[in-house]
Amino acid sequence: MSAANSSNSRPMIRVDQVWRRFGDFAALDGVSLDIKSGEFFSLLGPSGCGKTTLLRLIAGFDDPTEGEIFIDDQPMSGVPANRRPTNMVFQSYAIFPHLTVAQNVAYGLRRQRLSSTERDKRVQDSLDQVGLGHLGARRANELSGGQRQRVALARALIMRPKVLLLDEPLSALDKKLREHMQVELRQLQRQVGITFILVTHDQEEAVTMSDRIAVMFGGKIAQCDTPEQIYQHPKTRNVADFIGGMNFIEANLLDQTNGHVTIDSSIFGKVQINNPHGVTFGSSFSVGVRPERITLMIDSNQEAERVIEGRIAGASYYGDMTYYSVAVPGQDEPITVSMRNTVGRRILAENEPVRIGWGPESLVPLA
Amino acid sequence: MKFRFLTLYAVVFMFILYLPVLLLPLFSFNDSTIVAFPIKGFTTHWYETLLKEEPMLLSLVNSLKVACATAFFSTLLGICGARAVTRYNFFAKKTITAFVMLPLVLPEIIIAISLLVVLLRMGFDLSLFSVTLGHILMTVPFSIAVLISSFEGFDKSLEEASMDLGEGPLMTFFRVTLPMVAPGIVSSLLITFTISLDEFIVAFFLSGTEPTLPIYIWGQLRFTAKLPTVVALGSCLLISSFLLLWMAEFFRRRVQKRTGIKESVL
Repeated sequence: MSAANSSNSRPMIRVDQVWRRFGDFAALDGVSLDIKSGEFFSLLGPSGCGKTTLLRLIAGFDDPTEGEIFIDDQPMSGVPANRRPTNMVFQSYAIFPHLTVAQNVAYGLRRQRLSSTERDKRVQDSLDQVGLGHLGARRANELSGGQRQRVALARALIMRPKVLLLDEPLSALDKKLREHMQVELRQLQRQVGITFILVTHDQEEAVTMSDRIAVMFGGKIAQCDTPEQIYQHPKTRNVADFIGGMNFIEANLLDQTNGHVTIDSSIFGKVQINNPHGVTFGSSFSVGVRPERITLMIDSNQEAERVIEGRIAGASYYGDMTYYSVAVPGQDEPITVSMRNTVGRRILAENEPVRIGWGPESLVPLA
Repeated sequence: MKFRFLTLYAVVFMFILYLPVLLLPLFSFNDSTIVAFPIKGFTTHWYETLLKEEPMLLSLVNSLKVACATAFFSTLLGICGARAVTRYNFFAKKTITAFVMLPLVLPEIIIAISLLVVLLRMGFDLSLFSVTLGHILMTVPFSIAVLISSFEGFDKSLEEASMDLGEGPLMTFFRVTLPMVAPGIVSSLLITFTISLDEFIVAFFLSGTEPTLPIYIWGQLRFTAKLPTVVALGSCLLISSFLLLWMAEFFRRRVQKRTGIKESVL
């Protein structure tokens, strides 16, 4: 089971310039992607961005209009779904309602012509793995949502696929169960060492579970990177807006050199910031600031590199955090700042004057 | 007040609708050759003469043959049709579907006459075979209507899941599609069987020298003395039709339960 570690650099899946057109509409617009063996990879984006289309192309339920998909170095065009080394967990789970749980899990084993003892053992092992060992005799329509999901997982994993495809597997579960399954799925993936590809529109899910994420918009991959890189250094305004909260501030370009841009903006003034993706910017563009990367300086003796004066325009209380919108002269939209509700900290009142502390490393230039 | 009026209306309506039908079994046990009130006395004589009627039994056998063949072939065609409508997109799909479903609303006499003309021109002899052809034409739309709801009712991803787990299209059909629509198939068989068994006009035009049961009954109506026997026969048909349709509905509901949808076509 150490396949994940021994061949970490080899791509298990290569998507090479893939297009999928429906009439005039391009659901996938020349997508290229490498997914490493043993990786937990997420396709993240709003509905209609092409993420499910891409997953279905990999599974073999649909064919690319142009381009090629390789799984384990084998070109997949012309290979139907039933002969691909992939298995899928469907959004609806697609549990066969006329079969029992054990029959569902054993469904794909028919072609392997195992002895009945061998088959029963594998089914039992597989059910144990997802914690449903005692439910083999149940009918599929007697299961809860969470149990259905586990059956779908067991049924796919028993096939020992090279790649497991998950199409929004957690979207039908309630919040508590969803968070629990996120952890469990991640553990399961580590344990079996199979490449997982997860399709989701839930940025939190993608960020907490994945080794890498491809953020998709309009049939294109906007950014493909680790969750941390995508959160800290989003490449475009779309990506920054989709993942986490972000303040956008209009800026004019003064100068760009290797790895840096110098900007002028109404509230930040003239400042040089990092340009980690080496994007070439036009004369005006947005810079982004995460609400938690700037601080509200409530004590008069607090110091910061740079300071902006403003007034509290509103507050949203979240229990552990409070999100303040701060009106700042020279900026139409108020700036959102988050603050931890630590012991003894009071909630600031509306119209109270405050200072915001920031540094150039908090700013991200966005294409 | 309004509620009470509507209740009364419903009761009267049902009464008028079913009274003549309910009189049929009543008169079949009446000890008189005149089918009218007052009731004279109880007898099972008419049922006894029924069992001795050789031509009646022959026409019953004819009807059963036709009904079985019709049920089998129209359900088979119905499975193909319903699957095509629900799973594939093809050229002029809506138009073709409309034409297949048309016999549902087309007057039977038009179907009967046109079939008669065509079959005779093609050199067919009128027989039970021609009746069966006519009945298949008439019942396929019913079969498709019943089966479309079964096919639509289940998640397409079930078939994809089967493919994903290594089965080809044929095995997927046998291992997933067929068991899922099986109650719909039974329901379709029963409905088409019942329709064919009762059908008069097409059978009248196309049956030639081999009468089906409705044709036989129509023939008997000319003899007043035989009317009570016909009434007894009618009662038997009434009960068996009711049982068959009740079974069909039972199976149709099982489909709904299995697929978890609420939908009714009939």
